[in-house]
Amino acid sequence: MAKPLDDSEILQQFSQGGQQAELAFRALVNQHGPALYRQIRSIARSHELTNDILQDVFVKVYQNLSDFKGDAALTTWMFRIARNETLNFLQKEHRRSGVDLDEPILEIKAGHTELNQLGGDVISQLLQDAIGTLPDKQAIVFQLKYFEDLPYHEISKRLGTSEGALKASFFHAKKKIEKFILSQLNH
Amino acid sequence: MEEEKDIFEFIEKRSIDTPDESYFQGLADNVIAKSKVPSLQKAKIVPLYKRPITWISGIAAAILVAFLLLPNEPSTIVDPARNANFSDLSRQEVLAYVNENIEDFDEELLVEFIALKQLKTETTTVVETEPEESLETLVKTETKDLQESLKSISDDEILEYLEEEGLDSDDLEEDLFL
Repeated sequence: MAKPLDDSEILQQFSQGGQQAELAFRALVNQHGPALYRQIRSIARSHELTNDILQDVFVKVYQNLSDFKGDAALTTWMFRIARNETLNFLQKEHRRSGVDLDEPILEIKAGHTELNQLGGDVISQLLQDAIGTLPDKQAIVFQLKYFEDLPYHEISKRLGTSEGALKASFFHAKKKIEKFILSQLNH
Repeated sequence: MEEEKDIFEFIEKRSIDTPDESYFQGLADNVIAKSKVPSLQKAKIVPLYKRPITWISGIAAAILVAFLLLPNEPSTIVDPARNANFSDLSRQEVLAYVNENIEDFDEELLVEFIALKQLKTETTTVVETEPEESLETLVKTETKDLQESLKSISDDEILEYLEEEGLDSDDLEEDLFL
């Protein structure tokens, strides 16, 4: 099995065009596809919709990768595209109606007075809404740490940020999400 | 005192089913194939101001509108309304107006103007230009008198003239690459 390429190698190879670009793109889909798939499916909650959205996301990535300036990490850039595409797709198409939806991604454990009243659907939606209010960097850190369970050193490698900064970012993200959810419940 | 727990301690995540590697290989193939279809390729967005046709149309519009607004040929019919509107305007003012409002002059205006101009044209004078003479012929023609007068001057007279003017005939030869 070929050694995985890091993001800078993917970009460098993609810039060569032709067969090299296609190989680089395949590596990118192979390495980043699963996390993007889960990110999208946690919102779209159906494989069918996720498949459509993910294709659109990667078409955008393929068409714009040569213009990618590297201002942010490739992971952050693709996360942002995936999030926007998912929200636009669902908003525009109202595609959730008539589609079999997955079980909600979250469920409530007993013990919390306010959360006890909620079902999994509601808390899942509230969490997604809360993530939507976060700055991109905090949102991607939360996604990779909370949903992907990646260790900080791995996130640090992907995002090019120190582990200390990531810990702070995750802490702030959680606090903001909690505040958002509780404010919605008490509204 | 019991430590305050955050809400994440009361929320449980469910795992999300993720397709296997072959799904992502197929996805990459689809995307590459899709991106090769011309109609699905990203259209290059060129800002309007960078399009050559915009500039050409704009310049053409400016020139034509300037002709339209500036009374550049005497007219036998005097239009008092037109005079009232434009007589006080200087050429610079009109050109400044055209430059400032260049976006307002569109192709329809130009087409209309050209059609109007063609209708007004009664006679067309065709000026036939003679074929251009070659440079050699031109030099010969233009210096004919000079050549004739030089023939009547002897070499001694020329050398004497050069000596009087302080010119060396050898230097002159070098200058003339002789």
